[in-house]
Order: sequence, then C-alpha cells, then structure tokens
Amino acid sequence: MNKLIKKQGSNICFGVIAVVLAVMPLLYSAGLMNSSTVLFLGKCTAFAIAAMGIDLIWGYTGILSLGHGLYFALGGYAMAMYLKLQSTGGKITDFMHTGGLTELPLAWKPFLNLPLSLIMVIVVPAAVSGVIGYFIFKSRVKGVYFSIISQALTWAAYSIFIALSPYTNGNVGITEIKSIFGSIKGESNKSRMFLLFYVALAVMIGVYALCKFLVGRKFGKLLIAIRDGENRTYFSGYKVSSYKTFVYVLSAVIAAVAGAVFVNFNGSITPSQMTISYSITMVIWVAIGGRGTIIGAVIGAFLINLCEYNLSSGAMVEIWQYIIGAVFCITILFFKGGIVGFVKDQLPEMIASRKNKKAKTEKASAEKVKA
Amino acid sequence: MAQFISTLFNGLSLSSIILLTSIGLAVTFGLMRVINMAHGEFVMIGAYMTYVTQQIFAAVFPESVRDIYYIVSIPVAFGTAFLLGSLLERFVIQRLYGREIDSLLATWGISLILQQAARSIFGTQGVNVTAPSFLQGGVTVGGCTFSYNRIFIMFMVLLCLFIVWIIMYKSNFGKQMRAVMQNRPMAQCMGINSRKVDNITFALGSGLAGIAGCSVALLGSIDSTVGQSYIVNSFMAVVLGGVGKLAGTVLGSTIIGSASIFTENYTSSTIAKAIVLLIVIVFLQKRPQGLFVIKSRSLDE
Repeated sequence: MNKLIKKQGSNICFGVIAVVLAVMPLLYSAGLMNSSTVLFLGKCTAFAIAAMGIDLIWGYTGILSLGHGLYFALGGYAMAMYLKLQSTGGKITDFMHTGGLTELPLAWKPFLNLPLSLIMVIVVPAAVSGVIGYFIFKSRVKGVYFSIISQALTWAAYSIFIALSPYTNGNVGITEIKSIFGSIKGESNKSRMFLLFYVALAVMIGVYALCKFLVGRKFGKLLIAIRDGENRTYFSGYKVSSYKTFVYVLSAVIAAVAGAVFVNFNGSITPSQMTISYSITMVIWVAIGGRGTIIGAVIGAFLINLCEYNLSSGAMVEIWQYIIGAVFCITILFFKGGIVGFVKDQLPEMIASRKNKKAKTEKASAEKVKA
Repeated sequence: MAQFISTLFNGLSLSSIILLTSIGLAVTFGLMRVINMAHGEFVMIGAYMTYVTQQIFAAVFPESVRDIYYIVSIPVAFGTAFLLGSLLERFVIQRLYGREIDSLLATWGISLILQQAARSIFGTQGVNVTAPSFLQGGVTVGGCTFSYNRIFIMFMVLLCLFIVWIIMYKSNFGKQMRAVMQNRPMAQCMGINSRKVDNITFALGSGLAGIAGCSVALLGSIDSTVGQSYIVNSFMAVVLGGVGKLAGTVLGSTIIGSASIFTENYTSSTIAKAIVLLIVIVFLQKRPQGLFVIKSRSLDE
C-alpha cells in the first residue's frame, strides 16, 4: 500500500482532483453551489493546464520564461476572435468601425470558421515561440539572460498589441462573447455550461496525461539533465538547443490551449493576460504547488486561485497581495519543492528524524536504568 | 537642425533616465549576480520619499524656503532605499547567492508586497510632486527649448556615475567589493568581511534606485506601478552593455534611450520603445554577452 502511494501518489492525487471537479456540476444541479463557482472552477481548470506547461519548461528544464502570458493571451485571442465573429455574424465589430476600418481585416478572416480557428489557436503561438526559441536557444542564451530577454519580448509584444487597437481593441480587449457552445449564463443554459465544463476537464486530463507521458521516459530525464548540467548534456552528444526549443514550443502551445479554454468561461480577454506580471503569476502557482512534479502545478493553480477567489473580496483585497507575496518569497527561500516537495520529501524526513530522536532517548534511558 | 538638436536632447534625456535606473542594477546584477525584480519598487520608494519630503516641508516651513525640499529629498530617498535594501539583503538575498533564477522570483514576491504597501499607505491614485521653482521652465537656444529639470537629471546622472566610479575603483571599499565578487574564498582568506561587503553593495544599489526615484518624481505622477515601467528598459540596458561593466551600462542605456527617441519620429513612443527592444534582442543573438565582455575561461559564464 505504502509502495503504491509512493509510486502512483501523483496520479492518485490527480484522479481525486478530477473526480471532485467532475462532481461539481452535479452539486450545482442539486442546488448546493452557485453557478459562478462552477464557472470559476472552469477557469481554474484552464489555469491548471497553463501551469502544467510552465512546469514542463521551468520545473523540468530549468528555463524561466517570463513570457508565457503572451502565449496564453495569443490562444485566448484566437478563440475570442472566432467567438466574437460568431456573435456579430461575420460582420466587422464595433471597435473596428471606431478604428476606421470598413471591412474585416485579413488577419481576422481565418476566424470565420471553427476548425480553422482551433488550428490557429495552436499554430500561431507555436510559430511565434518556435521562431523565438530557435534563435535564442541556438545562440546559447541561457539562465537569467533568457528570463530578461523574454520579459522584454513580452513587454514589446504587449505594447504593439495595444497600439494596434483597430484590430485588437487595445486596452479593452475582446469582450461580450459567448462560449463555443453558445451562451452559458443563466439557469436555462445549464446543460451547455456542463458540456463546456466537462470538455475543459477532458482537456486538462489530456494535457496531464501528455505531460506525464513525456516526463516518464528518457525525454523527461533529458530535460532534467539539461536543467542540472547543461554543458554535460552537450558533451554527452545531445543537441540541447533543439530539446529546449521543443519544450518551449510545447509549453507555449499548452499555454495557448489554456487561454482558449479560459476565454470560453470568462467571456472576454484583455491584454492584461499578456503582461509580465501575469506570466509570473503563473510561475507562482507552479512554485507554490511544487516545481518539477506536474501534479504540483495542478495543485498550485487550483489552491492559489481558490484562495484568491475567496479572500480577495472586500477588505481582504489588500491583505491578499501581502499574503501571496510573502508565501511566494518564503516558498522560494525555504521550500524549493513547494507543497508537493514538502509532503513528499521534507515531511517524511522530519518524521523520521523525530522517530530517531525518540528511539535514541528511549535507548539512552533504558541504558541508564540498566546501569 | 533645431529639430535634430531637440531630438538629440530628448534622446539624451531619456538615456539619462534609463541610466539612472540602471546604475543600481549594474551594481546588484552586474557585480552580485542577483536579479532584483524589486529594483523598480526601490525607484518607487525614492519617488514617494520625494513626495513625503515635499509634504512635510509644505506643512512646517514658510513659503520662501520650501524649494529646498528637493535638495533634502535626495539624501532622504537614498537613505530610505539604502536601509530597506540592507534589510532585504540581510533577510532574503543573503540566502540566494548563486541561485540567480530563484533570486529573480523571490524578489518578485518582495515587489508585490512593496507595491501593495505603497497602495495601502498612499492610495491607488497617483500623487504629484511640484518641481521646485529653480527647476521649472527652461532655457531656449536657437529655437530649441531645454527644460531645466531634464538638464538637472542629466547632471544628477553624471554625479551618480562619478560617485559610483570613485567608490568602485578608487576607494578601499571598492577594492574589497571587487575582490569579493571576483573570488569570494580568496577575499575571505585575506580578511575581508564578505558578509558586510555584500550587504553594503546591495544596499548601495538600492540606494541608487532611490535617487533615480527622485528624478522620476519630477517627470510625472507617482503611483505604485511607477517603477515597473522603467525596469524592463533598465534590465535590457544592463544586458546590452555587458553584465559587470559600468561603461557597458552607460553605453547600453545611451543606445536604448537615443534609439527610442529617434524611432519615435516615425511612430508613437510606446511602439518606438518596443521596436528598439526587439532590435536589441536580435542584436543579442549575435553577441549574447553584450557589448563589453569580461573575458573568462570558465565554461558557465
């Protein structure tokens, strides 16, 4: 039994999370929960997907990207553009009118039909991250230099995105959109909301399975090798830059899928998801949950967002920022493995050392009695 | 011609602002290898300290001597940032030497806390500092206007650079500092208290950010995100110049600042900055270590 938990602990944990999530809509039907909570859990599912991508690149490969918000937003915008065109019936939108456009811009044309839009959700971020990753990793930019450059890239992309407001609606973003299955708000659309929720859940399970599949084999070991000794991996004959580029693209695509799921629940997307601080927020989830474990990313994303959801209303808004800042800082300083690492490594160690101490004192007292 | 000169002036002015926020980074990132994401918040602290000094002067002193507040605010801002930096090093950074990426993340947590603290104390609305009368207005030469506060900022940058240069290369402490950063165990063997050197160096970098805050306060309204808007450019300036070289940072900021202003002639200012950053990133593909490279045979440099 103990062995099973040790070996399959993360899968069991993920199974529990998935089952609990699957039950939520039923609770809502039974009247034990309100619809906004279910919608919020849907968003959390999207966050968990994005966090798993971050865990692949940061937790396993050791590359800290401060720009995954960009890919999250690209996926989100691709989805939102399709949904927006659905609600306008393929006509040009209000903000394009205001921006002085008279017909649908070329960039928006592919989003008129669904399959093409879904392909764009994946292709656009993959292309962007592929080009960036290829060049940056080829010239062996690594460590913090990569983080700083990705930060500058994100900022540049964000400013350009806002400046192109006739096409993107600038700061406001794309708003007033329904989900991919139609409106999900209100009692009458309950079945659609459930459908969407279960689709999101299925995507999350799929991404989890993919990540676990990848890290469970030689590929995963290689990623860890790159993290712990990049030069040694080079010397062993592996083309590290290709691996890095691949992981970067993969995590960008995962983030984009997460963005697309998020838009469906949120009903809008704004450039604030594209910022550096949003990108680091995603890293915070992974750090607190536990880096390099996949399950840690899921736990972190759900836990922090649920806390924020419950705490950041009313007077707690101010305190929340202090809490998250302090918890994040302390996690980085003292609990490198986050929650999962603590439960898996530090806790058993503490228990073992306490047991040892106890045994020693007992032994000592027994010897004393003998003497 | 007049147009060109005023563009050049604006370029130099922007460069000097970027440089002022980068000098501190050049010390903490370049010498200590700590990525201080809270550096922008130290700029913010400096700016708020200027505001606080102004409020105190307005309440206590008569009208005639109020303008002195700005002169007083510079040491106040430096001192506050220096103290907070020293505390930060003592409790957080100290545990992060050699863990660059973790230092980035931990200081981000600190920056969240500092930003929220600023919002709790000063509110979410931006506050404004009125420039002292001797910095208002400007001088007009041949059709170009040079505003006094921008000229003042340039002088302040030169002064800061000079002081940092003196500290780093001419003083006894600077010698110890460079020794510790280059070879820590050997420096310790020579009897240098490396803990103390670390602490003062980091505090110095933070204090310089505080001074940058003083000049930022002259340029626009101050709110909790004021530091964030400078931090991206400053980091890029340090990386472009080459980490660990003061001269590199000067060159890096000048290039980014002037290029932004010259590009601005053709497009809007944010797009210009974005384009310049993209060009810098492309350039860094050719020279990942920046303009000035410290030669080293170590593999992982």
